[in-house]
Amino acid sequence: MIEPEHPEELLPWYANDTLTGDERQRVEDHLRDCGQCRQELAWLQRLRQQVKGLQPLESPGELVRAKLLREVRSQPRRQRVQWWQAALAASLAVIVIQGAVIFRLSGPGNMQVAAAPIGSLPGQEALVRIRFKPTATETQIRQALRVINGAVVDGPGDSGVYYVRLEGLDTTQPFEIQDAVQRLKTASPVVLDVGMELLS
Amino acid sequence: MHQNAGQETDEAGALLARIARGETLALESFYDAYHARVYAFALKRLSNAADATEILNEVMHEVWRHAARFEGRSRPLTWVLGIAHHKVIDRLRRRSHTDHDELDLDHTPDDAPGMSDAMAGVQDAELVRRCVDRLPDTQRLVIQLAFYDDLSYPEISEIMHIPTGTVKTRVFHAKQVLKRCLSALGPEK
Repeated sequence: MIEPEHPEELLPWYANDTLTGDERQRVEDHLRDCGQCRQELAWLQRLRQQVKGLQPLESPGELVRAKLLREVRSQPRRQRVQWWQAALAASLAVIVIQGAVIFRLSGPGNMQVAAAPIGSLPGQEALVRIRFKPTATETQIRQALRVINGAVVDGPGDSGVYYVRLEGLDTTQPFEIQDAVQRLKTASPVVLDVGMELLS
Repeated sequence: MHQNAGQETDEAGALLARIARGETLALESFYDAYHARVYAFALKRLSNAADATEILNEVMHEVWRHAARFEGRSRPLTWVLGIAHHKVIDRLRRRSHTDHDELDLDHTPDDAPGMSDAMAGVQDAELVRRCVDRLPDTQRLVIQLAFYDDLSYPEISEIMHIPTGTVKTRVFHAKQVLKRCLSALGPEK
């Protein structure tokens, strides 16, 4: 076992040439006088060469490439909603709610208020964005989704985010979504963070 | 270090910007540049070619849909392998192996074997393959990321969402396990 003062934990990163700054300098200074670490480095460098040669089966490159391109060309493109669109949706929500209240106060009692999209704009879809703890099991994730009657429609993607559709809810109603989000936060210990995203 | 890494990052970053605008030609170029590494990453973790192929497809779809989320704070390779990592975890969850895999202890006995045996063993490619295949999943993955993909420990930390200290610890223990294995199965045994 190499003694603690040897920079053994840094040697793998010196061997793959990713060490920078002070750490790199520290290793280089040490290597000049330490045959034991030079031997360790030689072993790591040889291991790196061997690992690079270990790549197994060839990637199914062309097959997946053709499938991918066929699929993306045949599907409508999702685009993130710009902040002004979200703000517009929020403004519409206020206006429609105010209008509904006024209508209810002034209109005939048996008339129904026309439904209007206030959580999402026409043609948009409101999804709940959830990131679970890395240690969350599938069972725990299923339990969490049951709390909000959610169905995974995408993910886990960048940073482990799942996009979930709330089944049986009118997602044009922001309060229904907010209520579901609150229930999820309260009920599930494996949720790291949760939010809403409007997609068109 | 990484002589071409800066150029590669700039080019891939530009590709991602074009993908975000919906250019399929850019997606093709990105795919050509990264598919082999994404596939190798998934295959090493899942040990199943069909699953790894599906992961590759899913990751590239994710790139297509969410390229705008790449903010340039990390290398494109780190970003795309981060996506692959989460897809793999999700796949392992479905296999009901997650708890075992994620909570895999970064602990093995530290009784390192003699360097001469380990040095002799590491010369034999087939022996190295057998020993790497015997590593626990989490250790095999960090060895792959460190020595096949040549990623720094902060990059591996970002991809796997674990502290940098844990990355170093996993590599340290993987190294010890490999040395023991190479010595035990080595040429003169």
